[in-house]
Formats: sequence, structure tokens, C-alpha cells
Amino acid sequence: MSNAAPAPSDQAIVVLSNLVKSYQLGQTVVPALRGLNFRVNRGEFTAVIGASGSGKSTLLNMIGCIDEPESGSIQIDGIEVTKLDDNAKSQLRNRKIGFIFQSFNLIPVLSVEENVELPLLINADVTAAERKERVKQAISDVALGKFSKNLPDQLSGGQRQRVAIARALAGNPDLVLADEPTANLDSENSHKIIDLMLQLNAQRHVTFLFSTHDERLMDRVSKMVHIQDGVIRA
Amino acid sequence: MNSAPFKMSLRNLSRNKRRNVATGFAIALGFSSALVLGGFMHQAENRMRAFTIYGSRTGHIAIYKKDGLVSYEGNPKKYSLNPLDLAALERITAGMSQIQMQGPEMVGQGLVSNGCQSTPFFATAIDPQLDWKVQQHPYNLEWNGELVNLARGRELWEYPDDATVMAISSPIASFLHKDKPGDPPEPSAKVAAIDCQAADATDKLAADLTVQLAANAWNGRLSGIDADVVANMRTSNPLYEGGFVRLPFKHLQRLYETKNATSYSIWLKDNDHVPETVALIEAKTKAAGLNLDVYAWDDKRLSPYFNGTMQFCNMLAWFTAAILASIVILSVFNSATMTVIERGSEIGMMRSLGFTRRRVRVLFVIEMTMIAAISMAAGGLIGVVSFFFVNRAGIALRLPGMVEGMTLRLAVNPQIVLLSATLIFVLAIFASLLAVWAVAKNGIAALVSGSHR
Repeated sequence: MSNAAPAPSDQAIVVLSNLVKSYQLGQTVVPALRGLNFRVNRGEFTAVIGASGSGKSTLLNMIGCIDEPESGSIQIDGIEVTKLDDNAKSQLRNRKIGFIFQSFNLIPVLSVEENVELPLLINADVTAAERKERVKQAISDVALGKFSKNLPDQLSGGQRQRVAIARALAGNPDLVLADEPTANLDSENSHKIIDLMLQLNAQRHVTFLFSTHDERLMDRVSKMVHIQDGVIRA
Repeated sequence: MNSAPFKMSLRNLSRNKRRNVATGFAIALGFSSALVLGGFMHQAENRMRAFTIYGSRTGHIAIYKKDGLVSYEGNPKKYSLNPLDLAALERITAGMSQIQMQGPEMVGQGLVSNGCQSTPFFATAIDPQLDWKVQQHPYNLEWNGELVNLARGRELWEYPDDATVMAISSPIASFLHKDKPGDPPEPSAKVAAIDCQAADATDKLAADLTVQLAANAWNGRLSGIDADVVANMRTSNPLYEGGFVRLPFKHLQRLYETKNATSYSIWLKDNDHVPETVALIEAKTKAAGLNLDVYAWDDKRLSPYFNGTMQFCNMLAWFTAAILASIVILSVFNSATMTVIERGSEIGMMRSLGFTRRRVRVLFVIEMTMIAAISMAAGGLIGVVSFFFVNRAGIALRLPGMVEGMTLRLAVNPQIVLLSATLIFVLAIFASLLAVWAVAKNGIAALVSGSHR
């Protein structure tokens, strides 16, 4: 199994134009994104780096359609998502985007395979047999086959994040967004998770976009963008 | 979706066990209380209905001379039903299949005496054979059976038609020393005049069943008859308890020297067709040129006691039900709000995976539905156990305005059970939906990061 990243295609999966977003903190308006322009091509493995409060999470939230910009355009796989209603965005997230969170966000009462199965349950295009197969494959891809019946609290932090990765991949998304996926992990597990993501990027040709401020990981990625004060720096 | 949401909801019940148990307890207690309250109201209403229609001999329908209900007492001759009215009523009602039994009734006042002491009486009179059918009606026996039994003696219908027998309330019986009723003696064995001053006067009065009834006859003369006390009874109504007597219709007619009747009572085969039968009889009596008032048994003018009591009971029941509903809704809302706020990041995660707001709400509603279903099963069990122990305890029931004599008997009414279950269930679901509604409306990013409210 090679860790080499696939050659990025020119076809853009994410195109952001003049994206503006600010937050109201009491009486103060805090700008998060200030007319940000950004593009991610299909198959890329991209890290977004920046200081705390630079706008990394906001950027990922916008791309993941879980937050709304004040102005600007967001295109995911050619679809202008700012014009979609809530249900359409839900469907887009389910079919095209996988999420990996810093704190894993697994459902504690569901087993590993049930957690991985979760996004597939609401995808009417996936049959029960296909669902079962995809779950099995996703769990196998993250090397958790023998833990498939375990509950999350019976797993280590690194294993839980692998479950989250399997869940993100089970829906066969075009894009996986990971917000600080290694922030809650030790150094060894952080490297393992990044290795796993690289491996899946290579195997499945899935586009990965993740935020981090962990300098140890920065030499592992093929493309890195630096965000500062709500704009991308060269 | 498949069975996964149900599986997930079921497993989620094991999270925050103490909170779910507390919520379930509130629902169970609310449901069992609603059952007990409903059981009480069901028996109260049926007892009152049976007492009014059968126990008080009002009938499902009572017919009076025009304005007779109000004015009879002041001028009984003018405001009573004459033989022509009674004959016409018999003709009119003869072909009506919904009627089970019918007959004239009379009420009146006077003095009752044992020869030494006298006391005012209030008398009601009905044909004893009709009274037997009325009192032995299954509905009356089911709900009013405890009051049908006499305190002492035998019922009037057990004596020949021409026997001048009567039943008197226990307080009069005690006052007149007629509290050992028995069968009337042969005329030859009757006691002679008693010396009221003699030392053995009380014993002699007790041994003699005969009393004298005196009243102003409707023709203006003073009238009197003798009657033998064959029974002591309870009226269950404190207004009449001190002076109530009952005797055969024709003997009270004889006392007032009239062929008229105060009213005409009609008992239907069931309780369901009263309004239309009232309307039909009204139409027929008008067509026949009769100047009569026709009342349904629950008309406020005819049965102020039933209406007043039920209004009071209903008011208490609704007030209690409102408190119960508030407890359930607040408990569920409070618990559900804490749960959805705690699980905000989980909701955010599910939303990010593609769950719509509706799907998220459905998940929480399924969870609350399960808690409600389990709790209501427990509540139903608590209710059944409560019914068993309350009914077994033999608690004396004193409905407003009634003397003792009834025992509290909670009765299951399927309609009330269904209504209570539906109401509690809907309230629980509504409260949980209300709680999850606001949280699910939060932005997904805020939910995931835990910065939601």
C-alpha cells in the first residue's frame, strides 16, 4: 500500500469566492473571514494551518455547509450551496461530504459498526446489503475489524478517531473535512491518523481537507494553505 | 429509515438513567392519577345518574302540568295532572318502543303521628309494582344498589295492592318509636288506644305499627288515613332525611282526596335517547292539545342537585387534571430540555452527517415515546393496584349533599382510560418536541462546538 498522494486533477471540488463571515460577541463584531478566495481540487490532500482564531474552523464549517456566510460564494462539486435550503444542504452533506471532528463525536450507545453505518441510514439510494458491505469495508480500511461490535468507550482515543474516519468514508464522499483531527491525540496516534488519512486519500482518491496547528504534521501533506486574519496568505 | 432509530432511542434510555426514571415516574404518576380521578368521576356520575333516574324515581323523562314543577306546591290542584292528562299520556307513549316503563307519581306534605307525637312529613308515592321494576333495574342495582336496601323491614311492593303500608325515614321512625317495622297485624289484633302518659307507652308505641297521616286535602278539607310502617329507609338526601315517607300512589291520592298526580315519569330502555324522546313527546303532547311541560332527567330545573353536584365534581376534576397535566408537561419539558442541550454536539454531528432537523426531532420524539409508553404501562399498573386497594378498603363516599350510605368504588371507564392515555402521551410528546425544536434550530457549527443555548 503506497502513501504517495495521487496527482491532483484540475477539476475543482471546492471553490470559495469573496467569502465573508463575522461573529457577534456581545457588543463586538469579530470578523472571521474577510473576502476569502480558495480552491481545492479533486483528490488533493490539503492542510489548512493558522493560529488559533485565524478562521480555520470557520472556513471548514463554510465548506461543510454547517455554517452560513454573510456574503460570497461556495461551490461544492459545482453546486452553489449558498442558494440551497436546509434540507438540500443536509442531502449534499450526506452524499458528498464526510466529517471528522476533533472530539470524535461518536454516539456512545452505538457500536463501532453502528456509528459507521449512521450516515448511510438516511441515504435512500443505498440498499441494506450495500450498506452492510460499505460499513464492513470502511471498518476494514481503518483496521478496526475486530472492534466492530465494541462501544466507543471501550476504545482508545486513536481508535475512536479511526471510527470517525470510517464513518466519514462510509458514505463514499467526494470530500472529507477534518477539523483538528489530531488535537486530542498524542504524537504517536496523531501520526497514525495522518498516515491513515494519507493512505485513504491514495486508495480511495478522496479529497481531504483538514485544519491543524500541529507543526509535526505539516511536512506530511502535499498541499498546505495558511490562513491569517480571515484571508489565505501566499 | 429502518429500525435503527428505535434501536438508538432504546439504547439512549440507558443514558441519564436517573433523569429518565424521574421523567417516567412523573408520567406514570400523572397517568395513574388520571385513571384514579377518572375512575372516581365515572362512578360519581353513574351513581348520581342512577340515583336521580331510578333512586329518586324521576325517570329519564318527567312530565308536569304547565309550570307545575315550580307552582305545584302552592296550588297542587291547579298544577297537577288530571285523569284526562294521565290517560292522554298513556295513549301518546303507548307505541313508543324506546320506553321501558312509566307511571304517575305524587308528592305531598302533612303530619304523621303515632297518636302521642306528631311530626311533619314529606311524602312521595308511586305504584309499588312499578317501583319494584324501577328499583330492581340492573343499572340502578349496579350503581345505586347500596341505597336500594332498606334500613329495616320489607319493601312496599312485597305487600298486597290494597294494604295501607308505608316506609318512613329512620329519623321519623326513631321519633315516633316505629323503628321495629314488621308485617301489618290482622285487623283483630290491632292495639287499642295508647295512654301516652303511661310508663309503658313507649313499648306499646313500638309494638304498634300504625301511624296516622293527616293533611289538607285538595278539596280544602282536613283529611287523614292510617298506615302501617313496614319499613325504615334511608333517603341519602339530608334535605329530606328528617321527614321523608313513602307510600303507595293510590293511598297518597286517598289522603289528598284526588285522582290527580303530581307528575308522570317515563323510564327509557337506555340512557342514550333522552333528548330525542323528550322532543317527540313534547311534539305529541302539543299536537294532542295538552298543556304540559316535558323535562329530561338532567334538566337543571328538574335535577338541580344532580347538576350542582356534577358541576362541582367536574370543576374539581378539571382543576386536578390541569395540575396533573402541568406536572407532566413541565417534568417532561425540563428533562427533555436538559437532555437535548447535553446532547447538542451529538445533534450537531448528526446534522453534519446529513440528518435533517425533522429527522433529529423524530429521534428524540421516538425516545420520549418509549419513555412515555413504558411509564404509562407502569402508571396503568399503579392505577389497577390503586383501584384494587381503594375498592377493597371500603372507604365511605360522601358526595356533596348526600348522607352516608355509599362506598367509594373506583370504576374503570375505557373511554376515560383512552382519553387519559392519549392526553398524557400527547403532552409528553409535545413537551419533548418543544424542547428539541429550539435546540435543533441552532446552527450546526454552534451545536458541534457546544456553543449552542
